[in-house]
Amino acid sequence: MSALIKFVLATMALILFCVFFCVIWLDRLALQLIGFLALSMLLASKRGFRGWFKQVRILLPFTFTLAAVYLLFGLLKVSDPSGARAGLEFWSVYGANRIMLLLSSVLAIRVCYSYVSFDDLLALPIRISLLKYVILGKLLYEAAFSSYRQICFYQSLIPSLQVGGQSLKSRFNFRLASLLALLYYIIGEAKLKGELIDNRIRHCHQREE
Amino acid sequence: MARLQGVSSDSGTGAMLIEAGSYPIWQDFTLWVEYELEFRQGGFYHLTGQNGSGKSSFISQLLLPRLLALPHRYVLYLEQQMHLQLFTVKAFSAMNKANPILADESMATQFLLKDLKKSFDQVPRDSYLIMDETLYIDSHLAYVRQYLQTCCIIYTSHQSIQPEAESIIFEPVSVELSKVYVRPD
Amino acid sequence: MDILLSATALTHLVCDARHPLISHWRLADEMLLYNIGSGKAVELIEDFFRISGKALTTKSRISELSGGQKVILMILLAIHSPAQRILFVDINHALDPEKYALLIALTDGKASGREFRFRNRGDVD
Repeated sequence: MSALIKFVLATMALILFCVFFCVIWLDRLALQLIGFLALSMLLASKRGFRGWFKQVRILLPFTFTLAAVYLLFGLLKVSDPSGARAGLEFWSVYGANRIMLLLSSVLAIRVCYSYVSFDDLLALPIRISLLKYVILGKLLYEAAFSSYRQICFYQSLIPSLQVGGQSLKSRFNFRLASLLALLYYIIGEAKLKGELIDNRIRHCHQREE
Repeated sequence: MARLQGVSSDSGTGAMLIEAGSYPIWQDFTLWVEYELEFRQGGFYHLTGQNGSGKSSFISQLLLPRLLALPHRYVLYLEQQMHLQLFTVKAFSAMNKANPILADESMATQFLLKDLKKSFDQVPRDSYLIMDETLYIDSHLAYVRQYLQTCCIIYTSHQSIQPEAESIIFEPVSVELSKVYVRPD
Repeated sequence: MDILLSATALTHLVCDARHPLISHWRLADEMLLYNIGSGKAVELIEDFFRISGKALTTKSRISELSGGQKVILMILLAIHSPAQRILFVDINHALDPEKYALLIALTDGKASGREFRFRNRGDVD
């Protein structure tokens, strides 16, 4: 199947998901649950149970936060969107729908685009000036997820951090500095690689532009 | 069959030794250390060889892990094509309220060298400085010679040849094997 | 990288030895950025083998090259690209004298109608 057809089908599937689960079936808990289970099975079939669990685990903090917020709304009897006073029963159903939708949305994106590889994206018949964003996106995504360990290694090579006897405060600062370095790195990479790619597009693809 | 050799350090005399033998570095690349290599405190070593002969791999896969395993030492490594390391140092200096904010590799390496000096002045220890194709290497050497005379300096460079440095040659035998030896006097 | 922000970047393909490659994926992905087709790819791979002694294919992972080999590849990508004006920055710092001489000779050979400039960090524009 050509790259373009795969990409179009994946996008259409995602649009259909949005129309049905985000609009039409937004307040149908049973359907939201079925959607989540179906997408979980599809993702597990593609990436195995571990891949599915890895994806869901990343979302768990957000899920728990949302659940806590809606629980609080219910306990405090916060008014519902129509303005009427609502209790725990309303907010627990309302919250459960949104939480299921959050999980399903992320899984839907992963499932739809798992059928479109990076090579397929590079093979799309679009101009290099647009393809640039696909390339840059992948570079930054990989930089974000693969650099932290190396950053910690470089930090360990700073002489004043080799003295030893790290207090809680210094260990906290170590972690904070690592995160700051990661942020600097991603911003720096976005700027540098963006400029490098622009430079190549200008001088190597100029006849096509 | 390649065999992994151990490393020993006589911290009394401040020397780090890498024993002779074959060291598989990557899946398809091995370094063959012909004779024992000794890196002494106050020593000055130039790792030299053509591109792809294994100098950086020797540093990152053999030398650094063994130096970092030594207790009570300072190891400062300035990487080739310093990029991620630059951001790491920048973040560290920002957290420690350094002024000015580090903008480039030159400022970052100066910051690290000053950090090494400050640490050494407070708690003297065996120190190792490794510079892999570092820019402005001559100015860094001048700083270390002035303030950190006992530091062991190991560097690679195609441009800066210091006559007083002991040359350690990386000689490709094949695509998968390089021989490492000290240049005879 | 201030040189990319300068006016030179508008007129020249800038190849800085401090940042030799953009991606760390396959050679084919890097060649895409330089608009190098399959014909030129064969020539590029042959030149790389001749200069570095290392065999590559379009599927080779370029992250596994040494620092100097990445600079050699960057130079070859630029030479085989359609770019008419190319600026090389600090390449002599990263290459041993033999490789540097081979690559300079290659730029002489490919020069017709094209401009190759060389600059070291600290040189004034």
